[in-house]
Amino acid sequence: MLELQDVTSGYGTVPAISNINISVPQGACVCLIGANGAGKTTTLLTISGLVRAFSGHIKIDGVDHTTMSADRIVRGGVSLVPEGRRVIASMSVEDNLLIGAYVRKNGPEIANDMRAVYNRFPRLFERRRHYAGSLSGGEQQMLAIGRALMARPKLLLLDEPSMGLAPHVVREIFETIQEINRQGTTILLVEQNARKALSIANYGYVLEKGRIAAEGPTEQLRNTDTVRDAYLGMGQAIESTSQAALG
Amino acid sequence: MEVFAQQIVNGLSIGSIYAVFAIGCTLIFGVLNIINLAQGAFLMIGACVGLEAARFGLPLPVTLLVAAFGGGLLGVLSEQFMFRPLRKAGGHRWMGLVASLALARLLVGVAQEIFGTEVQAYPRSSMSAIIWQIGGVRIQALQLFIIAAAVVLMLLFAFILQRTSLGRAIRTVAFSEDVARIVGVRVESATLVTFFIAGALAGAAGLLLGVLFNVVSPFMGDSALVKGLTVMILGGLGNIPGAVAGGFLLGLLEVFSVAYVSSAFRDAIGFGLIFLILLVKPTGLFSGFEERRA
Repeated sequence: MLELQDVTSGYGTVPAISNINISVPQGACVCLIGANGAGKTTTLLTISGLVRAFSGHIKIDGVDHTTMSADRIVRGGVSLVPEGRRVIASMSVEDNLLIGAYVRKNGPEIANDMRAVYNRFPRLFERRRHYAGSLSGGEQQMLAIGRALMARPKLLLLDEPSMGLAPHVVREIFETIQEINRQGTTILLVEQNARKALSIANYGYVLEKGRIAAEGPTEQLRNTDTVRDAYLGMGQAIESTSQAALG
Repeated sequence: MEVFAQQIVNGLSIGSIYAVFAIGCTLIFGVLNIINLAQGAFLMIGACVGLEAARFGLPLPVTLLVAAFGGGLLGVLSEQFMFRPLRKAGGHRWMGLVASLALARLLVGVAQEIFGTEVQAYPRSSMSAIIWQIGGVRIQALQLFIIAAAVVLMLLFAFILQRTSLGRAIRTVAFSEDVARIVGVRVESATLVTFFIAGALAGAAGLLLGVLFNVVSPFMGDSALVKGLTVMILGGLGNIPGAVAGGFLLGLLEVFSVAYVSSAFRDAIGFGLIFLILLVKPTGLFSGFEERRA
């Protein structure tokens, strides 16, 4: 469904990712792991059209998205749950969900999907009239996911959904992501929490300093030395591995 | 007591116009984080265009629409050909401020050429002739029309912003352009609509101000701009309900200072009080509710 072919992208003239090749098949849950600054977020922003690729091609269902505007990409069925959640603090929970459905016109269907989101996250229903800014971190993450789902995406991009959340909330969020995937939405998940990400994804990519350092089915990837040492916390500290990767 | 009640009526009619004008300025600030100094000139053009429409024989409510449309059109043009190119070129926010000042001067110049520098008056409207005496208070039908029109405009504005998909899109752009893009909002279009709404409010305020005082001049936008900015700051920058309250407050302050002190001190007293309020509460009277930028 999603193909990144030799994508180089970044900010200004400085590339943050170089010649990246990623493939996300229909219905899959693919994760992209790596340390801070490896280029994970840049990859997602480039797919969403918020950052322009310097070169390479991004294709979704065979259609070239590389130079498409962000709003057309959303209309094409790709939604992003951004890093740091970015719910609209000054709007109610309900309005945040409604803005998620901005690209859709069918009122009754939107109302249906709103009910579905509330069923998935009963906490959001309880707090639907509250300002999004008054929600806890976990609730905001649920809202950010709910907002993205309101666009009815074929492909859902998630950027660090576990960031800053308590372990039991992280568990809940990951269960939800798994469920969304089972219900047919293709997922590309970016995470620093490699253990969690590898546990729900079927395929993984390891990003190091803007390049793909390793990839493979998750069971396989989990057992490679680089991943075990650097990202699953069983070997040396991340810093020393990065040093090794440099040399 | 009669003087008091009379001033309330007068203060509400002028205050409602300030409120309409100020919410436009506030909207632009809230969404784009810029201050558009050309809003005062849009108000003046609204009054001039409305005057032409009135001379053409159109009824007052229609001239109001004409004035609003004229102001809105100018707003759209200013964004399309001035603010946006400046942002695209990476201009600092101050560049937009200076450019909007230049645009204001340009429009005043154009208005002087087309409409002349003389102060002009509206054709006598039937409404100014209708005056009710309630107790000792004189209420013109015109004043009621102005207050009603202003309230309708504000309610319409609140409805669009709070209850429609377009309004949610505008509020999302105000929060963050990136977040707006993430949900599929065409930020450029939403921005144009924002400028149209703000310009239309200025144009409508211009017409209302023109008929209330029965004075239209190319220079009427200058003092209106100062008042609009004052109300905007008084209400808490970017806070729309605050701007409404601030508009009424300034209107009342002005008429009361004229009635009880002296017309010579009208602006001095009005602005002096505002200065005091800001000294006590530097974030504006109604801060705390504003739509915060992320």
